Amino acid sequence: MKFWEVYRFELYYQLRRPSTWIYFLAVLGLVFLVIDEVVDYTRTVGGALLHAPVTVANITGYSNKFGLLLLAMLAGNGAMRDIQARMDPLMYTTSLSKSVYLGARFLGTFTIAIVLMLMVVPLDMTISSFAMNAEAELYGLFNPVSYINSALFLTVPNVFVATAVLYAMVLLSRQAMAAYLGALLIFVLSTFNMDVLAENWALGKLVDPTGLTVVDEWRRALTPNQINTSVLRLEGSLLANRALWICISLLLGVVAYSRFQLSHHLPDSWWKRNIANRYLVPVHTPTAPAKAVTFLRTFDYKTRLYQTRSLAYTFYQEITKSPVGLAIPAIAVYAFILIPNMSEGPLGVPILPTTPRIILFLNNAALQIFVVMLITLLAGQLIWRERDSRLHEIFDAVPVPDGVLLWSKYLCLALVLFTVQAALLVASISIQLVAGYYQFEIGEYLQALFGVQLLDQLLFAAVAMTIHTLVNQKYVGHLLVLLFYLYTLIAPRLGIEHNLFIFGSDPGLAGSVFYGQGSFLFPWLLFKLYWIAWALLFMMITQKLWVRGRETTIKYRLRQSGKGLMQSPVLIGAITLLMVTGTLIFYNTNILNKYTTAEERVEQQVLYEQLYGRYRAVPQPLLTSTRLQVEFYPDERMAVVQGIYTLKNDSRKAIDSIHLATAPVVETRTIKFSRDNRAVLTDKKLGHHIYVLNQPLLPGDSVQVSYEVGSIPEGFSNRGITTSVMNNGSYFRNSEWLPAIGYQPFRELRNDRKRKDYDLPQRPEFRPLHDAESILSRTGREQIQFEATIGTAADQIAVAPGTLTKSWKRGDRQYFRYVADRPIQNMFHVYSARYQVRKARWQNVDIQIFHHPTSVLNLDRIERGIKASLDYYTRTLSPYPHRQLKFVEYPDPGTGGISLPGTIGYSTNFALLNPANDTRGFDLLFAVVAHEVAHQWWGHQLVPAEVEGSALLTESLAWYSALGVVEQAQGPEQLQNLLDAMRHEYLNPRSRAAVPLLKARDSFQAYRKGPFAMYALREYVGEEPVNRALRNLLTKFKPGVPPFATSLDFYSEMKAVTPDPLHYLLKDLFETNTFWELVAKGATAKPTADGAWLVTMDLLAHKVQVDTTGVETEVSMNDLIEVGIWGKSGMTKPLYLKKEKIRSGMNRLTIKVSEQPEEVGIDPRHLLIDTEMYDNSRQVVIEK
Amino acid sequence: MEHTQVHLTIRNVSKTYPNGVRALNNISLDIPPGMYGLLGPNGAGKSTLMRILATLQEPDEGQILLGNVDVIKQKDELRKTLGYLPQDFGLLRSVSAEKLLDHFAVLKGIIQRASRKEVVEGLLKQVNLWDKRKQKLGGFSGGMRQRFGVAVALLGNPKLMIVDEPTAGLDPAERVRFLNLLSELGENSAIILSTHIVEDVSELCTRMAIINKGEILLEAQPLQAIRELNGKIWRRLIEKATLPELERTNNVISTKLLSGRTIVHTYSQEAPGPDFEPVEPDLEDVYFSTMAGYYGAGQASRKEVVL
Repeated sequence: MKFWEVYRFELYYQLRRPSTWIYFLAVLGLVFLVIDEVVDYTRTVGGALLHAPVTVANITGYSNKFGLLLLAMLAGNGAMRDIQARMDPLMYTTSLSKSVYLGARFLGTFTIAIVLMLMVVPLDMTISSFAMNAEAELYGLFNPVSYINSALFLTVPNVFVATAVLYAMVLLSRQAMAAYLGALLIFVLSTFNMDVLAENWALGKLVDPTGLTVVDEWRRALTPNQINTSVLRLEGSLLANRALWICISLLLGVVAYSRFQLSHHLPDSWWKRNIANRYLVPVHTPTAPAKAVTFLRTFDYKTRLYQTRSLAYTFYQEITKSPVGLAIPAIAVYAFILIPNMSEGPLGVPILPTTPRIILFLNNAALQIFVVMLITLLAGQLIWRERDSRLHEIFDAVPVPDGVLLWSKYLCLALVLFTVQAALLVASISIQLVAGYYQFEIGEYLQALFGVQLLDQLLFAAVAMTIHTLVNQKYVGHLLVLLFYLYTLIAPRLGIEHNLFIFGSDPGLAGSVFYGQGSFLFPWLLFKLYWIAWALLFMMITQKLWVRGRETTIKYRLRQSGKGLMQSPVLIGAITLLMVTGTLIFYNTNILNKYTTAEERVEQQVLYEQLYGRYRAVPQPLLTSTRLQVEFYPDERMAVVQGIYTLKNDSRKAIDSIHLATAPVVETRTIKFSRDNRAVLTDKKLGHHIYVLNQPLLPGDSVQVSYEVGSIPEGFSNRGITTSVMNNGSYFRNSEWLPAIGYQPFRELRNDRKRKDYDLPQRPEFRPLHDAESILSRTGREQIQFEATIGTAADQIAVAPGTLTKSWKRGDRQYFRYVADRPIQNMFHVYSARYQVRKARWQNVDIQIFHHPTSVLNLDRIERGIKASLDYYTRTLSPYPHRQLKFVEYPDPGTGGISLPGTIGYSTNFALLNPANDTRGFDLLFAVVAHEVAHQWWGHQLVPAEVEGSALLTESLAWYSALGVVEQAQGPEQLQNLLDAMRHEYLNPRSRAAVPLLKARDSFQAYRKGPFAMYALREYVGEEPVNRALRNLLTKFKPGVPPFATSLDFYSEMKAVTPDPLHYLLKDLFETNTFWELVAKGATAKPTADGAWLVTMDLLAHKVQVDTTGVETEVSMNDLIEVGIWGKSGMTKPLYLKKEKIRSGMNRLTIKVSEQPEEVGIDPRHLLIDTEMYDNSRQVVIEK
Repeated sequence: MEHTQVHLTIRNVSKTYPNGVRALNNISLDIPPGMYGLLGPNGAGKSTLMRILATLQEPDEGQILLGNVDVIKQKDELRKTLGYLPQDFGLLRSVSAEKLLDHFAVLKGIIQRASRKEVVEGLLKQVNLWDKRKQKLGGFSGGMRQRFGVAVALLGNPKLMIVDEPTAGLDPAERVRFLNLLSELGENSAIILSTHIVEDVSELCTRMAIINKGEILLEAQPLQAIRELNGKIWRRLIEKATLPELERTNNVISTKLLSGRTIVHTYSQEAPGPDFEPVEPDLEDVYFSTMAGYYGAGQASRKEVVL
């Protein structure tokens, strides 16, 4: 009876609070945004329909995460209401027992939470499907099971776990704020678990309290024919996760329940009370007589300054000594764990933790969300400080202007944030210390942490204080502040792209060891001044609307605020600053530069295709030679290129018009032909020009075209400044700047759904394998004569393809002349930077590494990699075609490299990879160098046709060859370690439905499956036959000469060297999408009379082919598969390792070995594609 | 800051709450320096008036002047000379008394550390909290909290002290100490003490007003008001059951229990009957006579005389 009364009252009370409904509406709104995103994704990319179980589960997951806000509010209130209202003595002295009191409260909160949360997704889906009824096909059939299962397996347990955890945290800390902290923890564990755990899925699935990682895994592994039908089931990882978290929440609940007492709370621990009691010893002092002592009291500006400072410090002490203060070291510890994991390079290889790299991750959302939350809560706590402690009546009557109160609280927030940044500084340096990096660039940290980040945080803090003051309702204030933060994150998705409308935004402060941040500073500063003006304005509004005394209605405060507002010099100053900076920004982004929205850019793509797509097949002459005169002016961030193309008609028909595609990011002018012509079309906006030659170009004839291209920076655009030409570290790629011949299909819109919206025909992403036109097409595969003269600043070195034939100085400029010793592919970079050059020589090839003077960590590795590669490839494949090989570091933000003719560009981050700190025994950097050098064969000598499967001929073969270099130069063990690391990719959930390797299209096939298949083939057929086949491929196809190679040509070469009995394997590896499922089921051994051991093993084997839609077909097998036995001498020395015939189903093998066996394995080296790798081996049971 | 004798003038002040409650209805008062008692039952509008005087609320109409400072329009100016002890307030639980008083000293404009230290010490000794200065305020008893509040109000020697129901919840000894404290201060400032306890006023105040339902019923000097009632208050000891009958026939102003029987005070110009005996009136009789409407209320002519 009492239970029901408490329960009923909880429902009654919570449902009547506006906060409940405001939070509920906020969750509804946020989930609606998610659904809108999903609809957009389904429309543009495809995938599961909206009513499909997987989509509903996914959306439910988001609703559960956003719902944490609502839950935190409900739990904080439900558990702390009586204490906050000081009603606890009344409640606790009724005859309610603790179990009834807490139980009914919890159940009440849970009931409201669960009912509201269960409504969110169905309600939002209904609204969304009505709002978008034109696209009903995106939703598919309504499937109640989708909703019921998501509700039962996700929402119900999630709401229970979250409510229990939050209740426990609130009861233990006796702070309603703890609920928000708890919600944040759950959110972070769910959202950033993969970052913190460095992509460990097994652990990640358990750690995520919402179970969404399991849903994510499920979603990724779905094949196309399951995607709309596969149902969420409570089994496996999901069941384990649910069980674990329910246990954790129950455990926490029990702890909180037993610690909580229905009695007057003594706040401190016993020893603190003892200390305090010492002061309680009564000392008899006579009461001093009341006398009016006059002290100097002042109310001038000095006093105001002093008060502001002193108050801020008082508030700061209160916060840092309160439990909230623990957030500061907590954030630092979190950063210390998070950043090293996030900062890993490819394959988990450590990257040198340089200061810029650490700073990059200090800006990461996974970290910043904590600071945002801290600002939100602290702003609320500071604004409500006096009212929460009911000190406000006294406090509000003191002779201190509102401004002092506001600014002292703001200053306090600033002090806390300063402390957070200092803690992060300590964390960052600790990370570097642990990684053995001892160059402490304190200056860079100070700039990043206390200049850039702190400023952004202070801007946000001003908004937080404004919102809290305006709404004057603590919990609604928290919600609105967080929503405001969300707005700044997702504004572009809401269609608001201009930075002038996104609070706190700036066009970026990207830096590089080459050019620093100098050039970014002006636009950044302008934007920040603009936002500072806004923040000042907000603070002025806050000051005017400051809540003081009893008159707290916004109406009253607005009436009061009008008084004397316009006289405030600060206000006038802020508005002036706002106008000036806003105008300057607008002038730069919209007048000096063209401002385009994402939508407009898509429309341009569409227009380009609609207007000029008809010229796709118009015969065009072939580019045969490029001569460039490049002038870099690094100090002015300007460059001018004068180019002369030679175009040759190699078709059989006369060509009368030439189409020139100019690049959008530069200005192209003075286009001149060596023959009389007239321009019939000049479309500078879309970059298409048509020239009609007065005398048609006859077959075999050539024409020259000259042009000038200028890159002249005009202020900054909404996306920041262009970084092509910088004071140091300039580069451009030919396709980005220089005109191209003919219609450019790669400029077309790719997204199929969007194409449909614009009535464009379907555009297959890959041309089919047998597409004759593509196999013959030279577009993009032309071989050109190349020479370039490059001028740059006297202290810089310019790099281009070819041999440096001459270098001279004219005035204060340095010139370099490069001539390619033979035709190259028409893809190249031109660089200019203050390089240091490392020179070496391999046989008659000059090796040069152009690097930033500080990037010296890996120079030896790179040099060794280049030499070993050249050594291996020239021996096993064919000669290296150039007389020089250049490695050039350039300011690319990625971690990779790019292989250009005779030149390999690599990013600064690549140069920071630190294999020395990798404990797994392989050198990724060396391997990647070998891979890039291999592209000088696979991509530059064998230039495949642009059809599906081409990545097999470039990326897969380049990796395969690189594996050979690794084995040769660093030994088989390093190779195995590298392959093991590469195989980790199998652990990432992925659908098994795929095209066979011969049609390889995605990066997993190109970079992983392809090399594994090649390696397997090598282990079955032998290294030499495979290399022979590759040599044949290189002999048969020459660059620039059609027809171009496809994966089928590769396949026939492989077939030619593979013995007939193994053709099945070739087919399984390349022609079909085949998976082996190999399990060592059992292994026993017993000693024989002659001192040897007889091993009996049961091996289970299946072979499955999976098509592109996910249909799995088991095929019978009788395959040669490696079987191994190991003893005491370890994995490197098998007692037995041979290929045995294995059939489908259970196989029993009995093998005699000389020593006592310990472990057996089927396909122990994982040559065959088996997604479950860990069941291939088994310990041997010894029988007597 | 020089201390000058200032008058507080309240003219035609009215305040109606959004929910329709008319808390103050056209109130006018003149308050000279010294202790001024504002007497009235719960809900009479005392606290509203006090908060308006303490700049925390604004009247719908009317004017209030302290000397030449307009209390409504020059809030910041008034606050410099204001000490306010609200009826109900809390303190930061985890801060020590010394620290919080120092905090308020800064807020009140004492920015020299040394003088602040001296002021804080003086005040804490004055309110007898010096021994407890290091103790967290969360552990303070009601009386200690109240005394701490006085210390805060006294900071900076206010010319106007607003003290709202200060003695409620104090034990008798505390109350005496507290009233002594206040009376010592009354020499230089205007101190307005709102209370529903008649003794507070009778013991301390040279002037007083009685307020009920937002209106001033009486503005008087306590002694003179008592004198005026001389011979008009009568007492009778009765059984409780006969009270309704008595109330019908006599102007009963108050009843009190004494050893299980009821003492009744009535107002009458002449002796109401043989069972009644005359009483020497006290301020309580003034209060109850006024509340019952036999004295003071609405009699403008008499009021002039009283003042």
